[in-house]
Amino acid sequence: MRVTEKMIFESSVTQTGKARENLAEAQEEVASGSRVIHPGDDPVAASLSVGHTVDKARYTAIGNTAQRAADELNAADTALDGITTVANRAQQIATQFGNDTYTSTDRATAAVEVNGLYQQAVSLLNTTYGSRYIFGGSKDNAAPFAADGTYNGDDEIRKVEIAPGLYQAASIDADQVVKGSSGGVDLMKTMQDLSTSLTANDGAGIRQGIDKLNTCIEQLAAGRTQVGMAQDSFQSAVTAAQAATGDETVKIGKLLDADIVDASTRLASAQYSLNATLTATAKTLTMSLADKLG
Amino acid sequence: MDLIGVIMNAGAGLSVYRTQVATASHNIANADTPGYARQDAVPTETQPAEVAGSNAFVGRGVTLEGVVQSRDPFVEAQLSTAYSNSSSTSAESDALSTITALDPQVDGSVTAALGSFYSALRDLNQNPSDLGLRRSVVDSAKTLATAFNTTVNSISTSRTAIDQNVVAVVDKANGILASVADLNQRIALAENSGRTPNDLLDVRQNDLDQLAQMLGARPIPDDHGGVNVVLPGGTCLVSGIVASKLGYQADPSNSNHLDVVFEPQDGANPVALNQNELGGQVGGLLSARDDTLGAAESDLNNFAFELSQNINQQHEQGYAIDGTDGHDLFVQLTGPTAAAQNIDVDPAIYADPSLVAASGSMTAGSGDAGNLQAIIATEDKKLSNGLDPQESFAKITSDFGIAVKTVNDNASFDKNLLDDLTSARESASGVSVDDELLKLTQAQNAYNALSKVIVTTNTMLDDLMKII
Repeated sequence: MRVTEKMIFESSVTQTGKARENLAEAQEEVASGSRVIHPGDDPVAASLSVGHTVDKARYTAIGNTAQRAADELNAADTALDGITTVANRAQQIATQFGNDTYTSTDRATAAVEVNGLYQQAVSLLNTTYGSRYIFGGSKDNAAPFAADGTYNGDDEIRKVEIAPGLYQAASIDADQVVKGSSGGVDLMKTMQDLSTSLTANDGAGIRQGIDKLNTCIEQLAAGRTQVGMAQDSFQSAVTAAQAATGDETVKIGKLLDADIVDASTRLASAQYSLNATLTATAKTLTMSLADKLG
Repeated sequence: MDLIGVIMNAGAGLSVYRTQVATASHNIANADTPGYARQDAVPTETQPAEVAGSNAFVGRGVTLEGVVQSRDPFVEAQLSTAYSNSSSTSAESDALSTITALDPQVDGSVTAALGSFYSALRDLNQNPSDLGLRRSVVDSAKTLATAFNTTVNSISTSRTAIDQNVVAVVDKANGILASVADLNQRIALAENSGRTPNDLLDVRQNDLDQLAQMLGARPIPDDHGGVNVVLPGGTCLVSGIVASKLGYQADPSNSNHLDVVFEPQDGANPVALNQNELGGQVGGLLSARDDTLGAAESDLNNFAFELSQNINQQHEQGYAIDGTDGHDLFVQLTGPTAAAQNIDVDPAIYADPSLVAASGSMTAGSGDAGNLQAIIATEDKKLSNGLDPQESFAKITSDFGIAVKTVNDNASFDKNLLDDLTSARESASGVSVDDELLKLTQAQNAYNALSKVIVTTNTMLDDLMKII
């Protein structure tokens, strides 16, 4: 092939340009840590990364909301534990003051304590987590239990996602826990009745409260069981969501992240190649017959 | 032959070598001129003369046969297509590589916004009466709308920028078309007078190369030294000494992007040229604008429209925090056209997030999230393309990525092919300064020798005169 000076110049421009382009690509990959900057770099990886990115956000959100639901259930459990303590104390008072050896004065004093326990129970049933009343069902922006024990909430059980599309109860029907379902006993009324009987020095009435409070304590225990099971579900969901988030992160990384060892090797190779191209170009361009002719 | 004849012959030879020196000088001067083909001053021996009284013939020196161009017709025939293909794929590749809105990890992408929007809905589902979480849902819906706006604007802006590039290329091509017609005339005149206008041929070849690059136009030589110029679709732009023009006009069916039109010489109505009737830069730019970017814009519009419709339809089923009927979360779009540009959060809901219709019951309290769970389920609801939202956007990314990769690969292939052919042309037609310097030296030596012949012959004449 006949080679002209212009061919040598143009070849030098092309080869140097290619070497610089390779160097720039390798530098960008090493500097950014990404193998796929534009969709055209790897259309399949870019496309798959969309799904994994959205899934990662989904699992992160499920993990976060499940954790908040678990925290809220923890507050509900603490409140129910407090109410159980209140019911146990009321039962102790009923057992103790059901004995007719106590005077009306003694029972009146006990009635004051029962009234205090009652108010404590109302307060615990109106527990808030953040700004929400956790025992009001969907009516969570106002105290669900009035001072007289009336329930102003509703029976809705709130649900939170534990896996994509799968929802778990995140609250309990407090009215049912307190009053029991069919055949159950209303804790609030029982405590009111106990107070009334103590005030009225009505031994039989006081003793009736013992069994009723026992039933109430069992109802509260059943409620706490529901809460505990839900807590377990949410804690499992948090763990699973964290694992899934990590899994998605790894998948995205495999699709888009640069192999730094490989990229660094290519960077070194591109640097060497550019250096060699520039050296060869410089040497070639100095050769001309014009310099040799006298 | 007499001595005077010898001097005359030597003088003619000096003229030939002067021409060779001039040609080498011309070649060296044009070593870097685009389109220039190396010229050779070709000597030939003069018809010999018969020596009187004998049967012998004696040579009469050298004469100039002509100054000819060095061109390889086989290479030249392939270059037009190679220029067209390489320019087309390079222009398309360059136009597409400027789009970053669909990059997988770009900030403010639809992917990230889609994930954030549904995450905000999930957060609110856990505590629907929380006004802060409601604000977060509305803000993330706004971010999603903005991501659509930004992405599609990036694409439509590129499409408009391509229109401007097309205008610039077409305007320049019109000037070159006129130049080719003019050169056809001048070349025909020169050839009719028996001369070969090498330098005019070079200028015309350079023009033809540019037209192949700009429009994919190919030259078809006629029998009179002229060249006709024809587009890939068969439209004749230069016929002999007559050049037509190309223009452009807005196409209402294509968002008022510009069509390239052929403007007939007879003043008839311009004829819009299809993309496949054009090649080169213009063909590549139109392919990027209408095929890859047009499809991405259309798919994004469909996606934005259907997603907002799905969410709105479900949102309408719910109730705001005060129990009032839910209305659209996103503004009602009339159809897919420009949906990604126009998508936005309903202004009333944006101003008052308590209107987010989370509740599934009019009578339920503010903590009811019955409708929110149905809205969250739209994340997996199939659109009319049979894909859910994330799959739909993944497909848009994938379609765009595959188109870019394909055109990049083609551009690289076409560039290599063109480089090979331009090297072959340069090898056949290019100027080697070393070669020309050797020719100069060769011509100089011959010139010196012939000068000696004249001096020697002149001495012989002097000697003869002395005898007389």
